[in-house]
Amino acid sequence: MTILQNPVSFESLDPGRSRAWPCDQDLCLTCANCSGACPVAGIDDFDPRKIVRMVSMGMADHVASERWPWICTMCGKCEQVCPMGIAIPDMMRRIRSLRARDQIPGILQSGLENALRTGNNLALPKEDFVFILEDVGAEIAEEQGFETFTVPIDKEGANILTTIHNKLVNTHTEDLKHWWKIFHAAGEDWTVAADNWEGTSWGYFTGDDEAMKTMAGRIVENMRRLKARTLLWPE
Amino acid sequence: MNLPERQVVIVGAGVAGLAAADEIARWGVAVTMLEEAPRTGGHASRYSCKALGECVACGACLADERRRRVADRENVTILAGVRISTIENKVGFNIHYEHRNSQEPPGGLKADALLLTTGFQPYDPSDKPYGYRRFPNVLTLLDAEDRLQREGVLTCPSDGRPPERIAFIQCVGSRDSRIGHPWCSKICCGAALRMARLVQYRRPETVVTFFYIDVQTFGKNFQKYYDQTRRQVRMVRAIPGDIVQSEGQRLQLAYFDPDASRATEEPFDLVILSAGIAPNTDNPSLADMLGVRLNAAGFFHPHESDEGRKRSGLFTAGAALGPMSIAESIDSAGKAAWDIMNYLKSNGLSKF
Repeated sequence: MTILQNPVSFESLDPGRSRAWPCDQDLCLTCANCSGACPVAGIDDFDPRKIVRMVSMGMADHVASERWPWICTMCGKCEQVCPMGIAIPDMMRRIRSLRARDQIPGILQSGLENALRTGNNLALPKEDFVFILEDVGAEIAEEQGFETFTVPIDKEGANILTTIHNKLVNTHTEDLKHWWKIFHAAGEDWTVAADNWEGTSWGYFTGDDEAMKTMAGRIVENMRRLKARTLLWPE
Repeated sequence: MNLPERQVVIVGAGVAGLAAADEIARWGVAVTMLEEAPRTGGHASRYSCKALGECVACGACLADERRRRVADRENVTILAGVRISTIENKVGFNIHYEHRNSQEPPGGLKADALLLTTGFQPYDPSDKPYGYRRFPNVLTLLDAEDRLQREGVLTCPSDGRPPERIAFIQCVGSRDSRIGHPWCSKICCGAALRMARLVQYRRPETVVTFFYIDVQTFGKNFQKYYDQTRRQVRMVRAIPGDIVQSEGQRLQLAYFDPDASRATEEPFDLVILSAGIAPNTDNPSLADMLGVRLNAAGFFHPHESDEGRKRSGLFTAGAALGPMSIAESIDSAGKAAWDIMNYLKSNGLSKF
């Protein structure tokens, strides 16, 4: 059993704030099914049961200051096995939201800020984006059976609008071709937006609901502007 | 008390039904018991004595004793292997039944008072990630009791050899809102610990690990028994995430070791699941025939409660009301028998 090094005083506990979260952490029976099922349990003492109990007792700030919330892969297996149906991944996101934005690990926050400012995580200028798409499209057109292929950018009234994961216009451009060749072979009427094309929403990982709302709103706006009927959001 | 013209019908000849029949018959009233299984005793008779040289108050002998006593009572008729088809409840009860596995014609009887002792249904843990019904060496506690009673020692179903390492997993299908069983089944901690101790007593080299949330057992002398148990049995306060079967039918348990703060996989020869107590699956149809409601969990309301009092002459006892030990079921049956006698004596005019 992990014993906290410094005893916690009751006065320092603030369960009121986390109690308002719709995650049901107060129902925990401490069975440890979550910890037994978790693929990353044990890394740096990561223990979902312990985290649920700490949040329930009003120690969300303590949890937020640890590495734990960022070890979680948000796979959701804990919630699947929890006999009380506690929304542990949702709880983990809320704990992440308590971290000061400049304290978020890795490139998550800088990518998210790029996205909010420019419409994509890479801050890739529009002309570069369009150049990359057309370049990949030209490569496809050199293949047998795809001679008439072009990339329909900002086409109005298409059936499908597809978002793009930023890595597909960065390090993995080959992977764009699989989707596009299927569209072509199927005779699909599709398009890509030239602005706000980013499908990846790192607010999900940083616990930033406002950022997620902004990113999702831009996709909705693209659907309206281009009068597309179906959204393909391959995340 | 002399009420020779009266008849009480008891539905279910498990320990509660038998205990009530014994009491009522002792007071000179005729009892007929209807039991769906081919024999009496119910789930309680599947448990065998857990004495470790001295009695550990498991209650198994109490169930046997009630069975023997009822068999000797001349004014108790037992109809085993029958299923109730209809119950009419006007003045008293008209009960019709069919024989399950024979060509005998359907029968009917009248009852001045009807006692429901329909017991429980053991939870079937096939849907839990422990390989029950897929891995031969994963048993429920009742399966293990059946093997122990049949063979005298507990062995692995795969090869008939005694297990070197046994794991007990508690709360399988209990305290589980996801499957609609939020209740504690009450008897499993005590029953599983007594089984663990007996296996070790008979074969001291057996290594036993007990996975639990918290031990929910009470009663006289339990603390002393539990203190001894903790010296013999390795107690791990975590419920395993899943079980996979490796070569040679070995079972790999994945769990979070709270002492080492580490995800752990550990091999066992035999895993015993404390499958919870669920309501008898016949409760809804019986309740429907009688025009009474079940509680939210699917058990009957006590006959003393507002809900239970709605049918005059209808009584309830034992695990039909919710999880109960053998001793508690006998107490509950004794109380019901007393209430039934008062009801018959007052000619149906008492509060019941």
